[in-house]
Amino acid sequence: MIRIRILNDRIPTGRVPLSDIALLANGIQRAMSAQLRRALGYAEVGRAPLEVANLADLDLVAIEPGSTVLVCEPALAATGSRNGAAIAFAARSLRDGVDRTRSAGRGSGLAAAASRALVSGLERMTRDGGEVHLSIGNDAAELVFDHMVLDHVRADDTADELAKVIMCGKVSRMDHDALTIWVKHSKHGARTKVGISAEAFDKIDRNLRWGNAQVTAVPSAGKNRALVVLDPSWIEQADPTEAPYYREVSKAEQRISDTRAKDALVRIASFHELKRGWNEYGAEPIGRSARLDATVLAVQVELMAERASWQLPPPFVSPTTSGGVQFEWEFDGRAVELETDRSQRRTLLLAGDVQEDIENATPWDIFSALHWLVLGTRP
Amino acid sequence: MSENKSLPPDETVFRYIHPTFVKPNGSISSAAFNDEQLSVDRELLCLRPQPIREGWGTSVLLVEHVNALGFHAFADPQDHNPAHALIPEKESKGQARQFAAMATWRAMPVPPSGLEQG
Repeated sequence: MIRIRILNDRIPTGRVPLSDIALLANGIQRAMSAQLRRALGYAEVGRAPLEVANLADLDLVAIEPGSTVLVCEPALAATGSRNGAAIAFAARSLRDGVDRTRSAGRGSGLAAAASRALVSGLERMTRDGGEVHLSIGNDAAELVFDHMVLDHVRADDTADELAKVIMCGKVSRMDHDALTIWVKHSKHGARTKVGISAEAFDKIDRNLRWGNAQVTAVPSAGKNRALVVLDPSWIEQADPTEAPYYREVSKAEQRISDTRAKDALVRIASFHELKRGWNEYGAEPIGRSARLDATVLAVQVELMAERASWQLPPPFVSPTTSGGVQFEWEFDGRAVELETDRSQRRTLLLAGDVQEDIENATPWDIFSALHWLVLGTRP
Repeated sequence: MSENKSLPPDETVFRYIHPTFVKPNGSISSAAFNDEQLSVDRELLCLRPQPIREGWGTSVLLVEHVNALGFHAFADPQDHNPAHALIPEKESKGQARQFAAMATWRAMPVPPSGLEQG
């Protein structure tokens, strides 16, 4: 059991914000994953092997009204003797790492970074850096808040917090009837899988709204169901006939979605109005997966431009007759078209002093094309 | 029903343009012409050269220009539309862009609310 007790006289009483709980859970998950990798002898860089990911898969459960305890349960795969020993070792390392990180205030490597993330989460909760004590076992993780009481998660007054948590990809299960939230992390290494359980999915209101946030639930063939909220203001009601969509939305992507890419995203979302034959020539509708893929693409391109310090003009975004989405950029006599079709296959066109069609464009092709658009040269 | 007859180069054909294909500067996106086979209407035979509904536009192509791109326009009259014609063969994105560049407006659209480019 991992038991985290927060002791600090200065901790205010009251409710623990969901966003803080999610941050804390994320820190625990990352720290646990990092220490497990060390315990099992894996290198500290790169994607976590599935074995580690499964071992470190902690479900944060039981955000119960009025309670002072959060409980994290490890994945079933972690109950074996070897795995249990590895978890115990990793948990001790985690405790030591956290203690060292807290005392030294610095560290290096992934494990230290993960420890810092946990400490950061804890300190954000205690606001002014209260004492943190860990007692660790191998069959559950328990967080105890001595002075904070976990209150009801009410739809009305927690809307904004909940929306933030969802949009950061932190929530995986919601029992709407009980107004209880589960947070699940790192099914596949460092990535957060955003999903909703089949049981919870059956209970959830398909057109659920908390304040301005709208939750879109999409069924899939597997155990989990997808839950995607990219922008609370314009995602439309789920169409359960369409394919599931799993995707983590990072904070950077969310920031870009809210700012640089917002106009394009709003326009892409509006394409759901286009029914079959919308152009009078038998055009295909722009399906959910095509719109979401275009959304991701728009955000990725803007992130790319930001990181490269390009002055990329906003794209003209249009639907395509085959059910895809096309982006067009024009700059200094050059133009780039980027189309993503219903199969999420991407096609590029460079038009200017040269004209080049690129089928099945890779991210590098896209980067290269936009580099040419903005700077006039290939990288 | 198809007569499979190549249209003469001096004929004009038009294609309706959905509002989402109209760029802020009034030009037409290549996406409007990127089709497996391009359905058009022969202006000569058309009874309704104006936009079919509010917000739409009507673009015109000279068959000679279509031929210059290596394509041919064929008469393909339908029961409900005797003016129908086809420009067959799958276009590349580059060719679709050339179609868009040489298309001119017969009737400019006014974008409806809700689908304007932001």
